[in-house]
Amino acid sequence: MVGGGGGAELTDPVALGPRSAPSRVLFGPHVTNLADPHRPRAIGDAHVAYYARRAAGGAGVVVTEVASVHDSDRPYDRAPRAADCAPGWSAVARACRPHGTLVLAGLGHAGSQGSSAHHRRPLWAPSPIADPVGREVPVAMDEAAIAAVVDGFATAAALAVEAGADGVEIQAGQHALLRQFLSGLTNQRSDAYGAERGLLLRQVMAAVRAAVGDDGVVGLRLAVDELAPWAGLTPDAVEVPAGLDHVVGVRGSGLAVAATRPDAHTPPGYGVPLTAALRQAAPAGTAVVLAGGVVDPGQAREALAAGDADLVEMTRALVAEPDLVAHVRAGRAPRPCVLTNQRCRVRDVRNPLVSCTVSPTVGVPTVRPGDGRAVRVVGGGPAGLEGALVLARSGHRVTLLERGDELGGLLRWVARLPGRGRFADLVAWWRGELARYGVTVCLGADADPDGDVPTLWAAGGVDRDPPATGVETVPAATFLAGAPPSDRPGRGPRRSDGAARSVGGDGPVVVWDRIGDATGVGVAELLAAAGREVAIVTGDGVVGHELGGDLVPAQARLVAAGVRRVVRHALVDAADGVLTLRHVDTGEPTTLRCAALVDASPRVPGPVPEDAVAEGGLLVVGPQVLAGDVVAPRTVHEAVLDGRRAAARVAELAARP
Amino acid sequence: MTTTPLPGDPVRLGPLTLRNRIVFPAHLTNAAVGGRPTAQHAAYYAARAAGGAAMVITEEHSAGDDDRPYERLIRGTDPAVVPGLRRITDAVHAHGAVVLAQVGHNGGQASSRYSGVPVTAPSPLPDPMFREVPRALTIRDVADLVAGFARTAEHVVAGGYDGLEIQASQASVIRQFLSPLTNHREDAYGEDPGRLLVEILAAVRPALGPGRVLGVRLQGDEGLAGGLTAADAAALARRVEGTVDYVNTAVGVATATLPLIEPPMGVPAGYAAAVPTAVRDAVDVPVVGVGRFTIPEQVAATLAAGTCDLVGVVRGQIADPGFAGTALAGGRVRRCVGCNQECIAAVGLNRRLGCVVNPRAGREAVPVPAPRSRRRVLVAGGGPAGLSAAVAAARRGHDVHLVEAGARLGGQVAWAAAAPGRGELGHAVDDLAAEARELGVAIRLGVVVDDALVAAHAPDVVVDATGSVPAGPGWAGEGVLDVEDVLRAGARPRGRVLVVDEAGGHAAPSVAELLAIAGATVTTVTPALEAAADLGPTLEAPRWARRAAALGIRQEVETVVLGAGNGTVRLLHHLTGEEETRPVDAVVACSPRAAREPVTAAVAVRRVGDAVAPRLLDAAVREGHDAAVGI
Repeated sequence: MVGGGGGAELTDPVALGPRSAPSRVLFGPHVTNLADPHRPRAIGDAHVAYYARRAAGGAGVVVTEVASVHDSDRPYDRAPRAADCAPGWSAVARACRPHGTLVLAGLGHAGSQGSSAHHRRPLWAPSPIADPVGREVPVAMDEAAIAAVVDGFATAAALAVEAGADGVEIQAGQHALLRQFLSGLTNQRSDAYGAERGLLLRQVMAAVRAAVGDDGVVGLRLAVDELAPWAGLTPDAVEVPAGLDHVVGVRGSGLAVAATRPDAHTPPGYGVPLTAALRQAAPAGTAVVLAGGVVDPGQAREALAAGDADLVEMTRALVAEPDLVAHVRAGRAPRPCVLTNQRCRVRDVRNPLVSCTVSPTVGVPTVRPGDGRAVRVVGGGPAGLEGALVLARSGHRVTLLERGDELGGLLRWVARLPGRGRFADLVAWWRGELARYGVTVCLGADADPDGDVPTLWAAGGVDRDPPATGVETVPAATFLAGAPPSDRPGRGPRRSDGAARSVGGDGPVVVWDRIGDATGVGVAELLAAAGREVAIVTGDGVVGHELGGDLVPAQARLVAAGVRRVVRHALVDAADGVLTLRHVDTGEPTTLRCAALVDASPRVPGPVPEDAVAEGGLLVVGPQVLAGDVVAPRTVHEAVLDGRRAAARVAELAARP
Repeated sequence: MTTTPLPGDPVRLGPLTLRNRIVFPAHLTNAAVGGRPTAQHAAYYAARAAGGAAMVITEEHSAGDDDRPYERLIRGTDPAVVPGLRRITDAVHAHGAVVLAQVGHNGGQASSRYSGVPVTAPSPLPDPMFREVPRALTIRDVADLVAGFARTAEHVVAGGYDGLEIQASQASVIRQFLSPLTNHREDAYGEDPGRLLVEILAAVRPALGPGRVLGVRLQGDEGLAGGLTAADAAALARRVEGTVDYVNTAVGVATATLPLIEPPMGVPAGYAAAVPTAVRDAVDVPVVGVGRFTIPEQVAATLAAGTCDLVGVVRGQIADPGFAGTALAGGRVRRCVGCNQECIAAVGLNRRLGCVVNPRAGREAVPVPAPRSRRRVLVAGGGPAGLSAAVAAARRGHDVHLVEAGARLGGQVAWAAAAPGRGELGHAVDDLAAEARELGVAIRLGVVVDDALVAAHAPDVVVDATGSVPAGPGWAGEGVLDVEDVLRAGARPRGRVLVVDEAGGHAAPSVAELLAIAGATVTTVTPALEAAADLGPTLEAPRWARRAAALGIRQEVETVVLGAGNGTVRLLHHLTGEEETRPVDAVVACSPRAAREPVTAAVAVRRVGDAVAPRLLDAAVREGHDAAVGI
């Protein structure tokens, strides 16, 4: 089954060395911050529930969050520590075993990509070269340190299999000391570990295999392309150590962290060429795993059919839809991952818990089953769509009233932003699910705010007042509503953009990026693609301040598109086509030519009845439960979460005699 | 009040008497775990009480179930906090200080990240830092809010506190109601912005019961156009004077004008004096003033000036827990340098509070092992790591010899402090050097430690704190200067000078400012997206931006240097891939440094600070200290 036979289905079992996985979908290691704050470095109960849920949904292999194999490594506050993980690994293995899912312990050491913030120790690395992100100068490891790390991997691997894991996956991809030894970017040693950069990895893999034995799985997550051909690892020179049961190809390095798990601005499937290189280099018997933003079962199936890979890592897809494999088995469409990285990318000093923009995992109530009683949902945006679906699934007779002529609410416009096209897929999925569960959808329907039927009221927010006077100002949502649908992810915004062409005549346009989310940057890109002269203004030190992994790629796109970025400035006012700004630190005024301003600020809440009562983030008045932007305009995540919560509340109201 | 007290004078605070005029005001520590106070809190506050503070006000206890602006917040509405509170109050009382709890609610200055529910505020205006549109509080919500303060007050009483302070200033829903910038309501709470505070005080007072102190911290300068002023604070203080036992004061909004609250070095002591002065004129209850007091003389001076009745000293007492005792008895404190690295920036990054000059800060609950027999300790290097090791070893009774190769003590800190506006940084090593001399450390300058010296000296332990050297970036050709050439050796290139910031921190801004003052036309370049980005978390960025603008320093970003020499520099704009060759008269490299080779292989050597890996000052001081306490 291993070695490029091709033709396998995602739902087929697959051998990983001596063991067999029930499907070919791998749930890869990722930061979760799910540890109990009192035991911040252990795999805790929340981890167990999180992994077991994916196993129950049909995942073939679960690789747990990477655990540090040595005390010189604590890359983030809640980074698991192998020595603390045995009980957690046992519990994960026990919880997943009934589903046949293989559980592998992720093991690693982040080297110079770690942090001294929590363990207050110098970082270890092959050479004293500061990581471009963390910028801490590390200690060049001596032979004793190297021996300690090799021993750490072996000890941790032995601990994992003793605890009941099916094996281990060793981290030599992103955030990995082992990659730093492999790469000319980070290894400038003059000893044997510099002469043969693969030496440490070879030693580690041999020691790990000896510790695991022949009846456990030993896998490797291996950097194949650092996107730095002048000194970094390249696919044409990849070497796969012998004796592995599986290998996962990874892209990126300390110079390109975002490239490892980019958002939808990068078309999914970028891992396919890496997989091809691994297939060439890997000995027969080593299963090759495709990684790289694959979230659609169709694309995964294609890769298997072409024989490029034996398994496919679909981590983000399984964050969004734990039952993905079960849905594929049943021929249903899974809830789509939108590839925005907003809630699942949690390598963040604030320790946010892993969650999902389209499927919140934290704070979700259970919904009381209905008995076919009628309930009403007002508003066809994300809060209303999710609420209607939850109510219908739980046995209610649901009517959804949407004022506009199509479903989706603001998501219709959000989906027109570059890199956000998958939100249209999400709306389409909701539409299909509502039909499947028999929800009556009434478009162009105004709702009566009174009445006795329990109602989920998610009618949305409203535009805010313009941020400056004396210039034509268009809220971003209005601007996007006039734009045509976005192209598919990865391709640039297209040039036939009606709204982008018409706003402000043909004069220069300024985008006001008040909160630094994806809106301002995306609107500026659309305008520039339509040939407009564009500036984007922010009070922050950088535009798109909150973009996370897309921050640097976004700057590159804006520069390439000719968008002028004006940072650390506030809007003052405008007159005669000139916008006056003020530097937030120096107070120095500046002017910009401006025929029109597009305001990317959040909207304001919708009208709320004065006698509404707050309940757990919702507002309740009589049989109405208000949720989503009408309460407070926030992100899609909060809208979906509010929709679920409000559905639970509406179900309670519906159950009253 | 019109008296001008001395720091050691007792003062009545409602039903209680404080033993002197020095307060340890509330500030975030990130020591809470799972919403509850810890043993670290108790040890941390007890150390300042033991050091002589008259009153400790412990960090914010949130009065809202859903108020979760940051991860390590004490959830005051949760009864489970009470045992932890009791541990704090017992520990502080053991040292004779009064202990109050600060109680607050962050309103819209918060996030739904941890609570999962929308934040609430008087009006749905997004906070500048958290950027979330809040849900506007309904009338019923306001009643719940008031009840939350009363419930928290009951927990505070059960925890053994002497009273509490209502936070109505830096991060507070009460301030959001008070300020016209954040309260756009048209109901009774819009017509009377002070109504919420009055209602909260009325609810809390009976919950506290008799014999306890109730105070309020009022905002006197939001630092925002159209925001609250000292006159507003004075008027409100007069209004609530009948209900409170004292008034504390503050300037700045935590999520908009934080540098006003915790200003960095260079901002003079007493910078916020206008607020307590105005409030003291308006009321008869005691008034607390704050404002970057780093030495006892400033405390005495501000009391003598009639600014306030009590002086709040936060960072000064983080740096030296014995600050208050020293202020009363005379003597020298280990001074806060206003670097803001471990007390402000670290806490902002969700890390536990620490202190660059006090390596014990933030880990007071971790016991220090008792010294064994007296050892002969040789410290190689008189920079911060070596001085810290020497001082800590000498305090433990060891026979300490410190040998420095250069002509003066202080290492890199001594010359980094020579840059404009950085002088206070030098206090970090000056104070350690003075302590070393007082403790009888034998100091030799101008001597290099090598195998021969070690053999002759025959120490039991060698601490290698010899630091780092310029690494010289790969792109640097002939004539490229290092930051050390400028700051230490006095190089003053003129004309068009390019300062290359590859290391971050203060090196490049310091060089740029020094050379611009000396008449050069200075441009800085960095590969980062923001210039001098490390000056943001330490709250130095706005001041730096103003100084740089005044001196005409040009700051370019997203740029890598490919080569430099012969009067030109070759630059790569890495986002576009465009290369540029530019004529320059001088290039100064501010690059990561390289650790020195070990001084000896002869005996047991403990390497510390930059000699291990070049890092920031806190690592040097901490590792020097930790090496010594292991002896």
